[in-house]
Parts: sequence; C-alpha cells; structure tokens
Amino acid sequence: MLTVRYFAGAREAAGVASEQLEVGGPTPVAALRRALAASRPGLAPVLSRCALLVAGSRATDDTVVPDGALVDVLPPFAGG
Amino acid sequence: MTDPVTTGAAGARTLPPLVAPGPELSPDDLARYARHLSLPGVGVEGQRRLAAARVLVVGAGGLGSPALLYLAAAGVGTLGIVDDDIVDASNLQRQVVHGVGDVGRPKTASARETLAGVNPETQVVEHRERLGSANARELLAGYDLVLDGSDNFATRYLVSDAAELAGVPVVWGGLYRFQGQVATFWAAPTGGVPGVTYRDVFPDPPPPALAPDCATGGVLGALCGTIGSVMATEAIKLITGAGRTLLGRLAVYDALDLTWRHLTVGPDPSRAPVTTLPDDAAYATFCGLPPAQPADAQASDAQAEVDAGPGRPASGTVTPRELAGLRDGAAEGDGPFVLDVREDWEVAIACLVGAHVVPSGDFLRGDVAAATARVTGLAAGRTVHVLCKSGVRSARVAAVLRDAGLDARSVAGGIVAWTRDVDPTLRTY
Repeated sequence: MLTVRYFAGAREAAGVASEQLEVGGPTPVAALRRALAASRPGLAPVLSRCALLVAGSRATDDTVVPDGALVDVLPPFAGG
Repeated sequence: MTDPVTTGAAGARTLPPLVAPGPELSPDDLARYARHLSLPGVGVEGQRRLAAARVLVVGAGGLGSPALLYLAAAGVGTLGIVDDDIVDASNLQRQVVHGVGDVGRPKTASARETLAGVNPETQVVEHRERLGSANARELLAGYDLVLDGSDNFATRYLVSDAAELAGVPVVWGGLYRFQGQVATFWAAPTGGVPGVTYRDVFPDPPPPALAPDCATGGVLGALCGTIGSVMATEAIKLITGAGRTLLGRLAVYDALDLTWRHLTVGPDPSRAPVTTLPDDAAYATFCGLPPAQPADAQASDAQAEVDAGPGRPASGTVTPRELAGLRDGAAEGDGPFVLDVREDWEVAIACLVGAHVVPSGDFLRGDVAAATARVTGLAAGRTVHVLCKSGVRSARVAAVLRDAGLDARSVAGGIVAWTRDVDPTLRTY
C-alpha cells in the first residue's frame, strides 16, 4: 500500500489531494507512473511532466518504491 | 483530507544567522524598526544583520515586487535587482512595485524609485540586464542570498547552478494561475544541515509544449503577494537566524482552496555537484528551446519559437513580415486567410483586421471535428494562417488543422511579433 499525494495542477487533474494505492509490494517508479495514468486518465498528460518524490527524494523511473512509502506528485511551474 | 505530517525532525532546519551584524543602530533606526526590535529572534542584533545584508532579487515582476517592498521596509541594507524588462500595462495587475506612470520604463529603475520612497536607507543596485551564464557568477558574488522570482525554466536552473557555485542560498518561488510554490534551496548549508537544490527536486524541465502557458494560463495578482511575502519572510529568517526555514521542505499554496501543503524535499545522491556553468545555449537546449533566444523574449514567446527558431522559419510557420507581404500583395477582398485563435477579450485589445476569430479551445477540446470543418469551409482551399498572442496556441491549432488535411501555418511569435515587426500601433498586453 502506497500513499500518493497530488499537488497543484496534479491535484486538479487527479481530482483528489491524496489516495491510498494497493500495488502489491515494491514497485518501480515507471510501473507506478503507468498505474497512476491508467487509473486516472485525466492525470496522464500532467503526470508526464511531474516530479515524483519518494519519501522526499527524487525518484527516477528505475527507483523501486518500497511498500508503505509516501509518494508526492509535483508539477513544476516557472511563473513569477 | 489531512496530509501526513512531513515536518521531519522539528528544529533540525534551524540555521545560524547568514549575515554578521552591521554597526549600531541610530536613534532614528531604533524608532523606525521598533516593531522588529521587540521580536524574539530578530531584536536589535537581527535588525543590524538586516542592515548589513545584501540580497539579490532576480526579476522585478510578480514575486519580486512584494518581496522587494517588504525587504526594503524591513531595512535590508542592499537590494540588487536583475531585470532587463520594461514595465508593461499588463504587469500592473500584480507587479505592485510599479505604477501607471512607470509603463514603458525599465523595471529596475521603476522599482528603485518606489523602494527609495519606502526606505531611503536601503541601497538599491540596478542590474539592468538579463541574467545569463556569462554574468551570473559575477552578479551573485556580491550578495549573501538570492531570491528567484524569474519567469522561465532556463533562468531557474541557471540561478540554482550559479548559487550552488557561489555557495549562497536561494529563496525560490513559482506561480501558476491560483497556485504557488515556495522553498529555500541551498546546496551546502552552514550548520551541518543537509543541502537541497532546485535540481534535486526538479531534475528535468517540462517539454515546452507541455509547460504551463502564461498567455492562456493567467495568474491571480494577489497570489504574488502571498508567495512573494513568504519569500521575503524566508530571506529575513535566513539573515537573522530566526525560526525554522523552508530548507528541506517545499510549500504549495492553493488560493482557491485556501490551503497550504508541505512536501519534504531532500538531496538527490545520484546528482553530480555543479562545478561549472554551461553556456546560455546549453540551458536553452536543456529546456527544449532554440539557443538564440531574443533578449527581450518572454518565456512564452520563446516557447513559440520551438517550431521556428528566430530567423529560420520551419515548415508549418510563417513570419509576421511574410504574412504582411501576402496581405499587401493581395487584391481587394482576396487577402490571405487568417484564423485568430485568441479569446474575444484578447482580440478586443489588439485585432488583425479581416481575421476570423475562433478561440483555440474549439480545436483542442470539445467538438474538434465541427470546428475543423468550419475552418475548412471558410478557408475554401486557401492556406490557413493561424495567429495567437505569442505563437504557442497557434502552433497547436495549426498542427490539428494539418492533421485534418489543411495547409495550416502558425504565425511565428503571434500578435506580439506582428506588433513588433509590422504594426507598432497595436496595443500590447
């Protein structure tokens, strides 16, 4: 079970601020991205540009997300 | 929904004061800063630290405006402002350091004048130039910390890298529509605290086609005050050592929902430390932009050039001058077909006579087939010249129309470039 939190535009696209996700054990980030995009179609285009942070650290596609981890989905924006 | 607590070890981010105290305060200063002097963690000593502090603010725009005003009012000794932009009427909705009388003036000059009225004791240094790879290290060298209120991804990576090289903290803020993000980044903080930089959190910029587009996105003016004020607060805390900074956290603010949420952010152990600054072209390429970006281009304008770099139009685009030539050479009533995909309110500000107005949303959402069929009918076999403000929306619509079999070309740089190159009498926004 993972806790996924969506921030800013990712929250709008997901429609929820956070959710619990059953992934059945440690999951590579690439697979997690696919699972998130599949479960929430509106999220897919936003997700591709979002940073994924696992327990606060940058996660690459190869990073394996341990069971029980907190995953934050954060879109960058540069406006100032 | 309540977020899990992410504060980590409370108090772990307390940092020693960044700046040594300046000289004793004069009686006038004691009176002016009285409300600071009784604050625990600031006090007389903290006020002397503020007076000795040198803060560089990148961008005198939405975030820079409130941050500069509060830092000057707070008695920061030296404020440097890097900006090569001119005040535009469309800035005034949020860039509160500028006024109606400043439209057309350099932002640095306008800001300096306003700040002198707020606090003549603050020395304001105008850096009327665009922050680039060539000047970044020299500019940052003279300052204790940097506030990043710039408006494009390339500059944000550059600020992060230059600050890492200079060893100074970056108070960083970003805005989009009703939402803001703010954080304090520092590659190698004093006090044995783990460092984290912008690159650790955002290793890759979004592709330009997916980057939030300011022209269509917009930004709530008062949101700039919220985030810019937090940036000033963070700067004051770093300078004086008061409280716990945002280092190690990133705060996300939603003005519509009126919520603040926090993420824990940490260093990326796989990231190589910054040891040198790549040139401007490398930053542009990294952010998916053509290297030879015009000095005065906004981020959104630069995105517009993705299909057609300046001076070398790719297929699928037409320059404003080329379109003007087609219009001038045409017989009465037989001009080129122009499809203006801006919103009605934009057309009301500046319009191209004879253009057919169909907002871009009709081609990108909803009944796309109907909108495309309508344009097919109107064009009657002619080339469709698609126009928007800066060329981003028009490029997307032209691609949709080409997919539908039409000969569609995006007007590179949009009405902004048209105004600049063909008809300077049009109003800008």
